[in-house]
Amino acid sequence: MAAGRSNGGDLVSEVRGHLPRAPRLTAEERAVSRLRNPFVLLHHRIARSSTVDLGSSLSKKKGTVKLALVSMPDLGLDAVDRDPSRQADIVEHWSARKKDLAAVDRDACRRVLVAMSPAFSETYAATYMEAVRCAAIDHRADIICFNELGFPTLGQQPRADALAFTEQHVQPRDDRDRGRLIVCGSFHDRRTLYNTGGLFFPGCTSQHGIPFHKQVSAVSVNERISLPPERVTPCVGVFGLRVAVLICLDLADFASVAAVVKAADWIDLVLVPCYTKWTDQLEKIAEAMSRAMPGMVAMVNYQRTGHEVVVSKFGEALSARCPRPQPSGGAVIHTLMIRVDEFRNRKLQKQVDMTVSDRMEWLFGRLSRPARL
Amino acid sequence: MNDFARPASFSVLARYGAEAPMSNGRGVRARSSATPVVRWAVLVRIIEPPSADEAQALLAALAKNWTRAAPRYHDLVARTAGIEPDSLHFVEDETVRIGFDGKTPTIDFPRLRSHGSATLPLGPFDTRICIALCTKHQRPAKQLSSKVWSRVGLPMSGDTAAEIDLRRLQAVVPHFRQISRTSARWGFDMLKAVLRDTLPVRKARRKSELEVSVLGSADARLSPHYERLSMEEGVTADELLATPAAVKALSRYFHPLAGADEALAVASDHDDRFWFSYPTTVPLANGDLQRRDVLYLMRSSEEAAHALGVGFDDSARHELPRRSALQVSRWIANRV
Repeated sequence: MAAGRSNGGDLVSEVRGHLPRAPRLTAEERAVSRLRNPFVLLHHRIARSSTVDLGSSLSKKKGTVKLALVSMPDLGLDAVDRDPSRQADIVEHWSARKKDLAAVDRDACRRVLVAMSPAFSETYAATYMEAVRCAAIDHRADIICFNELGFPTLGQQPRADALAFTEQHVQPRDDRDRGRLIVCGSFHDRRTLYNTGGLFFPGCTSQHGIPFHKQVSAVSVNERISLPPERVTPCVGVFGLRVAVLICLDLADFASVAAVVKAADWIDLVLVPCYTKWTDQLEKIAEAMSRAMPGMVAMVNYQRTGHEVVVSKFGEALSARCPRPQPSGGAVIHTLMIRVDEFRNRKLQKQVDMTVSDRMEWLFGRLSRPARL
Repeated sequence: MNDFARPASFSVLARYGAEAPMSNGRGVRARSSATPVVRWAVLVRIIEPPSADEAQALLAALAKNWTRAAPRYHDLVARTAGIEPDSLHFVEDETVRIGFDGKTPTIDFPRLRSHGSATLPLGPFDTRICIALCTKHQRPAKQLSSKVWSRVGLPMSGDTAAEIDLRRLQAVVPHFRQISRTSARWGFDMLKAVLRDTLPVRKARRKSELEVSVLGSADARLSPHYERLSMEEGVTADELLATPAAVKALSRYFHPLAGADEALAVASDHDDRFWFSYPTTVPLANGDLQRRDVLYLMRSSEEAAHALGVGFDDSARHELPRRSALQVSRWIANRV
């Protein structure tokens, strides 16, 4: 042993002091003390987070990532004097064959999806494409995220022109540009009866992007969609940031949230396209989630003055800029700059210090810190 | 540094039975091979810790000094590994990187990688030194411990991950430990010399040393024990190590790490020897992000404190040991 080097035993004792002490308890007390939130035991059987490889063009780290959150105009679904020929409407479907409906639970098979009239679809598509153009070209955003139901449909299927336009605008525009990720919001699809979103990126071979689906139906606002059999949250790496995407009420689904929080040392940012009037309640969940991860949760809602965007970073609310120019079609763009190194450093600092309260640990299970066993 | 650049060759991996992972994220095969990572740190106390600006100046001086130091480091690793210097090269395109780890200013030096058949009998490896400096603006406990880290592991290229057969592990881990320890101590001497030139009033003192070594294996015999450990209301390590089947499965991997005479089934209620687990997220081959726990034995020896971990690793690129060792190193480093 070289002179001046101390015994490793002191160091071991010091580390030992930072681990939680196991209390001396009776067997009964021990059983009670180990009782944690029982939901955290089984959530991984219900929901999971899964990585999607975007290829090499977006994988290289960038110093600063610009996030554009796009709020599309109100679909007017609540309007009393709605004109179905000019606006979005709601249409019934059935998840069973019509001839079988008499023999099955008819109400459970009823689906209610949003449908856009041809005229409205045309206007909405123009608004969508102008917003894509503005975010991609005018603002040079690296990640663009639209609100839930923000993608134009025709006959309750995604419009081909909007898909092609999106695919075109994820491509690099010049030598300095490396392309971008577009989360196209979502749409109700009559073919699957799902609420489906899409991830578009350069080199994406699928015409519809990488699809992901809403995992909870917002029945209280008369959305009745079919749900995919597996709850999967897509996670992608973009310019050094790891991004997961949930749709609206997925954020209130414990299993989906816990699946993200449990994998949070792999996830920095959660994007949540929303279409809701109750952002204040989701805001509290976003705040809890961003503190538990630790990371950032960015919700983008449809155009409601003052409620378009909710961003929570490490448990604290953050305001997004509404920069000029704004798209001419009526959509609203908010932007956020994320300095990747600074963000990751702060996340790391939060992880190693882990000042997260016991309540968070109880809520989501044991987080990334050692446990004395 | 480019003088040392050599084309990378992984053909030697095949010679050692190194295999690509075959886990599909759900089922894994039973076999006895593992991916080792050894990290060794010299914990340094800088008398009168530097300010943030002084730390940056010190890191810049270290980066500048690297051009002269790199050949000496190259020779040192070759000598320690017992291989020809020609069998080692600095990884192309890697430069000295100055950054932050949390709030701690850090410097990463380029990786040194072995290649070719001349690395016999040790086999392929790669290694890197990094230095983390604690500044006077950090909380008092941390002013005592800047660190010089050295990591040694198996080289990775693209999606190819390597493993070592268990029979060879007993020979390879001490080699890795030796390279890591020697490199970290050499790094400390370099830090001391540069500190003397840059900030003459500051003195660096060696406080202690720390090893964090992890073995990850996709051995299906480990899986059920780690499933029990990973559950929120799962068994404790003491309970786990009271199970003969668990001890038998774990011993296969702990023994090459800790030495064959190490008794695993010992109650953990000792200040100088205890068990803890650390969770890490890894992507499986099917893309799923999955939590995996690594079981650590923390113990002391005359020269260092040792955190020795074994984990069930069914990740796509055998990332568990590297990630877990880094996270536990950070966790400990932030507390001592």
